[in-house]
Amino acid sequence: MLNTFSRTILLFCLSSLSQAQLVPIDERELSNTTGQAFINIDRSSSASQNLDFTKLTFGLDVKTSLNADLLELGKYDVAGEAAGSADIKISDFALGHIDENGTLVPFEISDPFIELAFEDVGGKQNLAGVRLGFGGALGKLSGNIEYLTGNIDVGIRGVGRSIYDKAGFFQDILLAAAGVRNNSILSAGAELVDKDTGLSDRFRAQYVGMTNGQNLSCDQNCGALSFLLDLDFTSSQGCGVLGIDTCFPLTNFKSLDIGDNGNKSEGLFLSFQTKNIAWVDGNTSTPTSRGAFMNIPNGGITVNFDQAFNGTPRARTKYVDPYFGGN
Amino acid sequence: MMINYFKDATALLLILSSQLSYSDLEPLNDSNLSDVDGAGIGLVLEDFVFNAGESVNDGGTFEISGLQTSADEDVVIGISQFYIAGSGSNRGTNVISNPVNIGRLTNPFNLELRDGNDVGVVNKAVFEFAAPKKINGSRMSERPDLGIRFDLEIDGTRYQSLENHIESLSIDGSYIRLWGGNNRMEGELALNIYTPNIEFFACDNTGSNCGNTVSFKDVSIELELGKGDYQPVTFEVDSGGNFIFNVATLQGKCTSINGSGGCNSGTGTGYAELSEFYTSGPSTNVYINDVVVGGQSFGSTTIDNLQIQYLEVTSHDL
Repeated sequence: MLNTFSRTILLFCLSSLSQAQLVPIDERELSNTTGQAFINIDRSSSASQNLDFTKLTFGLDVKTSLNADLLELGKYDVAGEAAGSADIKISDFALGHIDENGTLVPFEISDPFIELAFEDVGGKQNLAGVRLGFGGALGKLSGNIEYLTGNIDVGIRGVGRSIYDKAGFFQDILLAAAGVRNNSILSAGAELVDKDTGLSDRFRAQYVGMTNGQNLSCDQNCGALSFLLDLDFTSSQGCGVLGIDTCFPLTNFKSLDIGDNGNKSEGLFLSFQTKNIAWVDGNTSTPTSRGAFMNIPNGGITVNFDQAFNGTPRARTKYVDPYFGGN
Repeated sequence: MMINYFKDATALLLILSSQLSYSDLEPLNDSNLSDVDGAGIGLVLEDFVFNAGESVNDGGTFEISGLQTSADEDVVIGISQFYIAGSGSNRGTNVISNPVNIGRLTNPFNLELRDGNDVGVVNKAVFEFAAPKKINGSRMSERPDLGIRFDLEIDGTRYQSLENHIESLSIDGSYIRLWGGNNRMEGELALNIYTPNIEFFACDNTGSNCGNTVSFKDVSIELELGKGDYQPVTFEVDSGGNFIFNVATLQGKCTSINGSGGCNSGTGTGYAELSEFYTSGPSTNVYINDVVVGGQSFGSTTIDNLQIQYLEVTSHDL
């Protein structure tokens, strides 16, 4: 009897403890629940290219610091290119860096998107391209860029002294005659080039520099004859101006600052396409070539002449970093 | 008889005294729980087939709605077919008569409570859901085909379908581990994907007249996120309804920073743990042997030893 009684007491005790319980949401209540609108899907067409685009944009803010031994896309043999080369090959790739105080400074990305391009061929929708892009990007991109297919337009801006440091006696005279002083502010644009020809080369490039016919511009503290810089004899030909190199190995640029004066820059993307496609962002159209393609937009990277001539050092990307003696 | 009477009286006394003292069941603490080592539960689905969507025997439509374009037009993504079947499903046309075993009795999917000390989570119990183990590079589970067809509709107009088919998929060696830490749920994740072929192609708004196929051949993806309680992964939702996915930072793991921001070697500085992280910590490796579009080869793709030192992903309204 006591045994039965004790069980009754036990049940009573348990029921006194269960005073609240979870109640499932019914279907009607659940149907009123909506998630955050962090995804957009857009569709557009380009009649001139006979292409339709479907773009999936994610409302995300991403901060990251990462390292990879190798990033290699589109490795296949192409006539006229080195055997074993790839459309894009970057070893010791990293996003973000660590400053001298040990603070991890992340690479920032906003509103990443995936876009598909479809070509209408006889009523069939051929998938012609895909790209992973970013609404904005800011931070250091590090790596040994061995091959790059794409745009990596670099702005070069610095003082005349850096050019005098590289010039010989005869070149000094020509520069002085052209009104370039030590404190003159000079600028030039640079893009992927073929070092042997000085021509623009966006496919599996290994050099960045001034293309044939491009001139230095004198922006400040210029002499009276600085207009001479605009003449043909002072334009870059075959990767040289007045005998001074104007093309530099991509591997010289160990760390690149992505962004526009501390703000996120638009237009950074990685794409793959089966034909030449011009990807459109607002009013900007970026032509790309068949295969893998990486676009780093205008204004994304600016270096001074010392950095152009000598390269940019690699930023620390690990707390135990082989590029810094192993610690 | 006397002994039984004594037992009953003792039980009653204990119950009543517990009621009077307002004590109730207490959760085992992590230290105690970490000593629990159950055999876990193995899951195997034999002769399994899944086939759903509006194009399947007049089945219902699964739709994702509520999306918008940047011009605020309504977007609906319909899923007209989603299937899991045995190898040789032929892009979802041979499904019902083509079952597959998900896991095997000798190598099932496992639900298990593990001793955290064995997996880098000190003195805590760790919940683990794991796919069959990957042993010496072989695949221990059977390999299903999997596919999905999306239909895109914008502002009431159906535009096109995008189909994706994965052949002979294996996720052996994948797992998710969860534990309680810092008043929140923490975890780590490993996701392996092995398949000889992933295909994408688009069709017109009727699901026919399909275009060129983009094939990713011999795909191997091995993704690892988080490293026990050294670098936990968290997923939270803030008061605004936006989610925050975080892989903890390595900042602060070193107690002796040198002049360039690196970690000084020495006992107790964290140098050894950081070195171990960089040499054998969680990493992601991707290899695609070939990308083929309409018969044209675009070569291989490799991402080797990608390690995340910090990741924070926060969603926001567009």
